[in-house]
Amino acid sequence: MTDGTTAADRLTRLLHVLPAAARPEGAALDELAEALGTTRERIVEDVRDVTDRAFYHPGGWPDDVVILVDAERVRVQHAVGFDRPVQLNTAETLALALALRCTSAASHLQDPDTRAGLLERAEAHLSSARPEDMDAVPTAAPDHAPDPADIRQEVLRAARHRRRCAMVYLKSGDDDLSVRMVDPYAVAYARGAWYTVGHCHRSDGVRIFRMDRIVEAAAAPDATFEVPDSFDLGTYITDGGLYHAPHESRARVRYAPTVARWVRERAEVHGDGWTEEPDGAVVVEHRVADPSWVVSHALQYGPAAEILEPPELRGLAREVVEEMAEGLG
Amino acid sequence: MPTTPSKLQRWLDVVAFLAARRFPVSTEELWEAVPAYAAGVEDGQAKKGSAAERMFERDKKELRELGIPIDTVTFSMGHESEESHGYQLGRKDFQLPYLKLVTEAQAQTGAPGRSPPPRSGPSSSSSSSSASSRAHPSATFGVREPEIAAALDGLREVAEIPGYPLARDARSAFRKLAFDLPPDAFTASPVVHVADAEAEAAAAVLPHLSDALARRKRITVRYHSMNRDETATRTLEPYGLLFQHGRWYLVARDTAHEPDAAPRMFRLGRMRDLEVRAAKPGTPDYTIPDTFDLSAFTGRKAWELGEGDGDPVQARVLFRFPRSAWAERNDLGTLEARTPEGHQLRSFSVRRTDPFLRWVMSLAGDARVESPPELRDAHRVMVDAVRARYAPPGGDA
Repeated sequence: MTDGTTAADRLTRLLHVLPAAARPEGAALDELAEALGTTRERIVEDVRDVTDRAFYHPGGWPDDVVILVDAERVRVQHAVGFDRPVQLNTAETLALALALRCTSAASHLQDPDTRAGLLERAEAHLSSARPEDMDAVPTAAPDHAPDPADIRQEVLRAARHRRRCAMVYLKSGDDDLSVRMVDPYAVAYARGAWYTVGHCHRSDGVRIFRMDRIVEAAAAPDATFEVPDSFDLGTYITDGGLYHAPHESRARVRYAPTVARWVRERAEVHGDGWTEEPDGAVVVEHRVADPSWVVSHALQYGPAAEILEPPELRGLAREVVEEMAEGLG
Repeated sequence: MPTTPSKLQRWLDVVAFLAARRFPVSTEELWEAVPAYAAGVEDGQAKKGSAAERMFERDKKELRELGIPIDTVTFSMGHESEESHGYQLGRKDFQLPYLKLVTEAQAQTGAPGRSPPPRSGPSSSSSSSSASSRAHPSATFGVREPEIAAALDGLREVAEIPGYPLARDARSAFRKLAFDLPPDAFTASPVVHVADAEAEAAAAVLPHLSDALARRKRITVRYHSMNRDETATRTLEPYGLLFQHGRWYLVARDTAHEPDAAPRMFRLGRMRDLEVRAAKPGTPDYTIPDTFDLSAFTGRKAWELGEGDGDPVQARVLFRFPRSAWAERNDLGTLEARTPEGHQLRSFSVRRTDPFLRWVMSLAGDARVESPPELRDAHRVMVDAVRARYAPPGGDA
């Protein structure tokens, strides 16, 4: 990893800056900085290297290359050979290949053969060095959890085109499915699961919906929405996860020494407070937005986890386990 | 004024010199034009083995890696002239064709591919014997709106994945593909990836692991095994990187104690003190067999892992409605039967029964094991053990 100051980093930036600045109107320094993930000062410094070379020798560049940098914009005239972006290199072509497999791409082009065909055309026309062997890709395609019913794609399309979405949803702890009309403001991937965050017309408020609990989804053909300026996804993110609790409570759960190390690791990543007991057990204090979540969470550890308090959550766990025992006969 | 050109200036000299010429140039011409190499030319001849030659060879290699197609060509200037060796920028491979949004009908007729470029630029180079064997691409690349939207949104999404090793390349590809398009041709993506503390820590390690993997270099790392609850130094041969369930994993062979060890998954969040073997940086330390399939490590449930003894158990689980609709939507197991009430019997292939039963437990009574009897008994024992935890003091369990 570099800090952006190697010759390769700087040439890569210049290969974007020069063509952009070769447009008649030039390019705004702030826009270049944002597109390149750097500062306008660094871009000016990169450009200075181009102008500096004129002082020692014109090299192969025509003498009349002109670079104008003012407070806001940079313009380049006669940048022969640098008036277009260069073709995709091998790594960029690999990135494109992987990108065409991901959720967002699939929501535009649903047919895998169409995506493969696009990649083939792009490799033939846009790439300077095609990957010889896709199996040599050092990373697997990013996992995005299977979406066998294409529901995630439907919700993503609705979010992208600002279409209201009808959803059949299984809320945690509910005994029946519910139908909701949702304006999906955003689609988010957090802690290994996909969510949509949007305005739920049934609840008349912004809610978080876990994608794997949306049993059916259909974007409305003509009902649109606008994302309100007041919406900020960041207010729904806590310690790397999505969290929204109109009525939050706390639960203390004790985990036996046999599972304590996994629980400690999870608590550290999630930012949960925990204490260790003399026998090696740990007690974690969870923030709870949904009582049925903490019961389900504790049950996944079998007898190695026990909700200690509050009493009402402990009572809920007891009810659930009694029902389970009854069901098993 | 600088007297010694920087590496960037040297590279710019090389690229600018080649970009401005339609025909191949000899080594001597190129070196004389680029001040940093000029000392390598004596009496009009390029000196073999000179520092200039070594510098040029390094630059050429690195520029090619950055996607600058410097072709080595054989050419002759006149009809009967002697053949020379030289260099040429693969111009048709150098600059990106103009991307142009087309309609479905235009895409099917291929019309845009025959259109002239909308802006003037240097004419195409044509040497007497180009080294490039690739077909010349069209000056214009016709692309339909859904296609460019798929490419740009896909690139934007992978670039946002926490720690993704190709994120920089994805951003760079995005900038290039978006260059010709009006801003309203692509809308802001509604997709967001949220990074937690482990993902942020993994982001610092990933570039080094990705580099080691690409160069097939062994690594040493302090790794905490959760099963053994111990931290030990391991020497690993990286085979692949996986991002799943929100975590990065390295698939690698630990050959220090077992030369024939099979590849296993190592969670990046459990690694410390990573070192990539520095010796012989240009030589691979190992090879990855053709039979290795990284995708075989993806999407595996905890109960599907492990060698086990004999065949896996075929477990049948009854899902009550509406949880049955959830199981069906997520394609969990194999559907065996439906009941009039909407319940579903689904079967699973299970190698490790404990994680499987704990998963069934997490469904909080919405699912129960029906068969085989010994697994159902084990489920009942687990439920009873949990029931005992919540029994009122002094009451019956």
